[in-house]
Amino acid sequence: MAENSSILTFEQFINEGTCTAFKERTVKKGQKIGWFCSYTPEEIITASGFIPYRIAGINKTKKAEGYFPINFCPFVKSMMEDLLENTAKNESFSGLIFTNSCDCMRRFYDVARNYLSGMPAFMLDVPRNRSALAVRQFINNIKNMLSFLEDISKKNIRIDLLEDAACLHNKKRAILSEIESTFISHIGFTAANYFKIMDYAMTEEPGVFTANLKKYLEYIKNAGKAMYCPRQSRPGRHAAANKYISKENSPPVMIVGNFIQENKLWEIFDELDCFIAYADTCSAVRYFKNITGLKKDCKHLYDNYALAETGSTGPITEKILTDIAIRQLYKPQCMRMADLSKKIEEINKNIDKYKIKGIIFISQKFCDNTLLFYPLLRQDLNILKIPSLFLEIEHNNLSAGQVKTRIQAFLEIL
Amino acid sequence: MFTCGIDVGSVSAEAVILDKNNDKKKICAYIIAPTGGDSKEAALSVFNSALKKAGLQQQQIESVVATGYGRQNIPFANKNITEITCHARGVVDFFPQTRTVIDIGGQDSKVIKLDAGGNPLDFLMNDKCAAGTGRFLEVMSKALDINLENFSEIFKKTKDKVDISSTCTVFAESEIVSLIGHGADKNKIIKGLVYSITNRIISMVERIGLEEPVCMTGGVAKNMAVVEALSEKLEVKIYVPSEPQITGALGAAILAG
Amino acid sequence: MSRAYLNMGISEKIKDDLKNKIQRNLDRAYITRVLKILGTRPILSAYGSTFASESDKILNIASIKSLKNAYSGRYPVAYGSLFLPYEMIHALGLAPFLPEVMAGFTGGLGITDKTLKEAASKWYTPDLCTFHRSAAGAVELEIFPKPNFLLCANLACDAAQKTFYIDAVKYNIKDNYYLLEVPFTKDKTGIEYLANQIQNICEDIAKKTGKKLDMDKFSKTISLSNQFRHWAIKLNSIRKKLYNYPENFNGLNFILPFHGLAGTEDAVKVYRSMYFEFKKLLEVQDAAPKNKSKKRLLWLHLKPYYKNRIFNVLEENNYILGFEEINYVYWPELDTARPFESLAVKMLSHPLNGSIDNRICAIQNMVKDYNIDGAILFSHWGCRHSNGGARIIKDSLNKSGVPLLILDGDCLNKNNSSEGQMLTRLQGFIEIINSSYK
Repeated sequence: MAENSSILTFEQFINEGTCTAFKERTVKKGQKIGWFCSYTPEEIITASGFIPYRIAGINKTKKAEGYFPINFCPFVKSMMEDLLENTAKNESFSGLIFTNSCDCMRRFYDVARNYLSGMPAFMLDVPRNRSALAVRQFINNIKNMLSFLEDISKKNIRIDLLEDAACLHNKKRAILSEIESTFISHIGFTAANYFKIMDYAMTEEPGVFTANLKKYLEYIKNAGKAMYCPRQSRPGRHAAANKYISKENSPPVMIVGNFIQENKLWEIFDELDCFIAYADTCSAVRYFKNITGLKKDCKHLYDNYALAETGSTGPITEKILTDIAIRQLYKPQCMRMADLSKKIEEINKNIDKYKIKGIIFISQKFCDNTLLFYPLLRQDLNILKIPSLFLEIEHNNLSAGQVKTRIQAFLEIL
Repeated sequence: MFTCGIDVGSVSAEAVILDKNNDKKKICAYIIAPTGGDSKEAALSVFNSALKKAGLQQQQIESVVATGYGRQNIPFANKNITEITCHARGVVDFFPQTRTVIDIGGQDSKVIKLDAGGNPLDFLMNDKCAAGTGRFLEVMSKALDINLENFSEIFKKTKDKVDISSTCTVFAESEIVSLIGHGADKNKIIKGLVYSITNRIISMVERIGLEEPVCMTGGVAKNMAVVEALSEKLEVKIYVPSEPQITGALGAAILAG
Repeated sequence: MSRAYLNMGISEKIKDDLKNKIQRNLDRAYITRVLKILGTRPILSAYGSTFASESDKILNIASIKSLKNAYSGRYPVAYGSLFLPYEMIHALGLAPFLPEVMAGFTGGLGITDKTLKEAASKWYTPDLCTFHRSAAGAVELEIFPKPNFLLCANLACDAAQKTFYIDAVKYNIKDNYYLLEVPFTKDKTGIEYLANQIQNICEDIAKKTGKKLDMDKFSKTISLSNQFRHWAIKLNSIRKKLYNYPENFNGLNFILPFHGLAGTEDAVKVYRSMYFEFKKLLEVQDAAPKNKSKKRLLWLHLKPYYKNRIFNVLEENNYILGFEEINYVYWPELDTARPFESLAVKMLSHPLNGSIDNRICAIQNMVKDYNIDGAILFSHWGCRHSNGGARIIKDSLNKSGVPLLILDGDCLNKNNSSEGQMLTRLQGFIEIINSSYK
C-alpha cells in the first residue's frame, strides 16, 4: 500500500492558494438569499443575481430554544439560531426561501417572520405527489418565487439569465456526482472531506465553487493514482495512518437519513474505517443527483408543456421552469413525499448497484416524516436480509461516545 | 395575629410561622425537613415543629395556607394556593423589585414572571422529567461519587469543561459513565454538568422572556455553582434570598389571612 | 332530573361493561359482533333512551351506526384523516373510518397501553404524537376495520400521511392510498389544483368500486353539509351568550359529527337538536339573569380523552369553556352545483392550513365573539404543528390582553403526563387571571 496516501482535503487544497479564493464565508448584506431544503431550486436564486446560501444550522441552539417547544426538530432550532445570530451581527440575508416540506418547517417560517422583523421570506409550496397535476402546480409556485426574488432584487429575471443559471447549477451537480464516485472508489478520500465539500457546494457562489472543485478533482486523480483501487479489493482508508487495522474488503454501507451534516459524526465514520458507498441524505445525493430531470417516466410531461402556452413569462420560460420543476420533484426523494414505496424502490436499486451490506439509518430527532419511514424500510430490509442500524441524533449535539460504540458494534456485526 | 404557610415539595417540606401585627410581618419560626414517603405526615410534622419553635399553640394560628405538590392533602390547612403564586409572593418579600423568579426544586423547576407590583404575570414549569432539577444533580453526584456540596468549589477552580450533550437525566447518567470510562477528568465533567442543568432553565427563561432583577429560589439556589453558571449564561446578576428554600412557605404564610 | 340522572347511570354502566368486555377481547371480530348487537334497532333505541338529552342520544346512536357500518363489511371502508371533506366519502357511498378519532376512543377504552406497545414494537418512533401511534398500533393489532381506501391530506399535520401509507402497505392496497395536497395559500390556482385532485380521486374510487360518479348524490350531500353548517353556526351564536351548559356537555367531544358526519342527515340532526336545547337554556338564563361571574375560557387544540380532573377544577373555580377552537365554522357555504371546487375551498379555509396567521386570525375572532377572558392551549405531546406555533399564539393573545396557558400533557397516554403538575399549572393560571380582576 502506498505509504504516503494522505491527500489534501478540499479545504486544505483551496487554502493552498492555487484556487480562486472564496469570498469570505460570512454572510454579507445584500448578497445572499438563504434557503433551507433541497427542494429549493437554487438556479432561480442565482438567476436573480443573488448567491444561494443554504442555512445549515451551524450554531448550537441557545436563544432559538425560546421560540419552539422542547420536542421539536433540533435542526430547525439550530437554523433559527443561525438567523438570530446573523441578524445580531447585522449580516443578515436579503431574503429567505422556505419550503412547505414538513410541520416543523412551516412553523419555522412563521417564527422567522414574526421574530426577525423586516426579513423578506417566501414560502415555496413543494408538492408531495408526483403527477402532471403536481408538476403544473409546482411550476406555478416557482413562478411566485421568481416574482418574490424580482421584487427584492428590483431586477427582471430574463430567460437568458435563467438558462445560464440552470446550466451553471447542472455543471455543479455533474461535478459533485463525479466527486461522489471518486469518494466511493478512492481510499484516501475521507467522509469528513466529502461532506465538507457539500458544505461548500451549498453555500458558495456556484461558478467559483465549480471551478475550484474541478481543479481539486484533477488533483486527486493525479495525486492518488497509486491509491485508486477498485472497490472489491479496497483496503482501509486509514491503512497509511496505521492507527486502525483495516479489514480487507470493508463492507459497503449505505447511509439513509435527513439532513445529516455533522463533522464529528463523519470523523467517527473515518476513524472506524467505515466504507460509505452511498449517502442518501439531503446534504448528499438528494442535493445533487438528477441533473437534467429528464426521466423516462416523465417524458410525457414535456410533451404536454411543449404545447402549453400560458403565463406572463411566455412559453420558453415555461419550458425551462418545467425542466427545473421536474428536476426537483423527480430527484431522489425525501421521506416527506407521498409515495414511500418509490423511496423503498430507490433504496433497493442502490443496494444492488453498490452491493450494500448494511444500512445505517440516521435521523434528526422528532423528524416524523423520516422516522415514520423506518417501519417500512425495516420490513423491506428484513426481506432482503440486510441489517440496519437505527440512530437518532440531535443536530450539533452529538453524543460522540455513544454513537461511536453503536456504529462500531454494527460494523463488527457486518 | 399569626399565620402559617406550609410548602410540601417532593423532596422537602417547609413551614413558616408569621407574626402579622400592625402591618409589620415578622418570621417567628421556620422549619425545613425532608418530605419522606407521606406528605400529609410531613406537613403535620413541620407544622408542629414550627409551632414548638415559635412557642405557640395551634389555636393561636389564625389561618394556614398550604402550597406545593402535596397542598391538597393537608387537612388542617384553611386554603391551598399553588406554589407559583406563593413563591412569587415570598420572593417579593425578600426582594420587592424582582421581575423574574427562577425556582429549582427537587423534582421540578419553574420560571415566574412578575409585574412591577410583584404580581405573577406568567410562568413556565418544566415537563415531568427531572432534567434541570435538583434530582438531576443528585443522580449525577452519585454517578460521579462526589458529594454535591463540593460542586461549588470544584466549579470555581476548574477551568475547562467536558460537554455533556444529554439533558435527560437517564441519558446523561450513562453518558457520564462512559466519559469516566474514557478517563475524562471528573472535575471537568462536573463543570459540564452544571452548565448542562442550566441549559434547561435557560430555555425556559428564553421562552418567557428575561426581565431583571432576577431572583433564584429553591433548594438548588443553595448550590452556588448553579447560580454562578446561570448568572454567567444569562448575563445578569442573580439574587438569592438568605434562605431560598422557604420562599414558598413564606409566601403562603403572607397570603394566609 | 331524577329519571335522566338514573338513565345516565345506566348508560355509564353499559359503557363500562362494554369497555371491560372489549378490553378483554381485543379483536376486530369481537368488536364487529358487539356493534352488530348494539346496532340492532330495539337495542339501539333502548341505548339511546339512556341519554339525558335528545342531541346526546342522536350523537351516540349516529356514532355507533357509523362504526357499525365501518365494521360490517357491507360497504367499502375508507380510512380518512381528520380534516378531510367527508362529504366526498359519503357521496361515494363509502363507510368512513377515522383512525385518529378512534385513537381518542382507545384512550377512553383504556387500551392505549396495548396499542402504543404494539406501535413501539413495529418501530414507530416513540416521540410521535400518541393519536397516530395508538391508531397505528390498533391497525397493527387488527382492532380497526380493514380499509379498502385510505385518504389523507397534508392539512394540519404530517403524521397521518405516513401512518396511512404504512397501513396501505400492510393491506397491500398501495394504489388505493390517496394524499390530497392542500396548497399553502388559498388562491385561484390553489383552489383549482385541489379541486382537480378531489375530482380525480373521486373518479378513481368510483371506477374501482364499479360505480359511476353520481353527481346528484354529491349535490345532495353538499346540501346536507350546508344544513349542518347552518345549525352549527346558529348553535355557536347562542354559545356566545351562554354561561350554563347542560350537564355532561363538553364541546371537545364533537370531532366526529363536525368532520366525519359532515354531509349526513345525522350531523344535521345533532346540531339542530343541540341548537334548540341550548336556546332553551339561554331563555332560562335571560329570564332569571343570575350573576355572570363565570370566567370564559377559549380552549385551543384537543383535550385528554382519559378520565382527568381538568374540567372539574375549572368548574369548581367558576370557569367555563366559552368556546373551543375545534368547533369554529371556518368555511363558507358550499355550492351544490360545484361540489369539488366547494370542498377544495372548505379545505383551504381551514385555519390550520398555511401560515400561522390564519390560525391566529381565527383565534382572535373567537376571543372577540365569545367574550373570552383567557385561553388554554393544550400542548399535546409530540404535536409539532400546534405546539410549534404556541409562542406566536401566546404573544399575539397577550398583545390583546388575553392570558394564555400552554398546558403540557398528552391527550391519550395518561402515563405521559402528570395530573398533579397539570392541575398545578391550571390552578396557577386561574390564580393569575383572578388576581388581575381584583
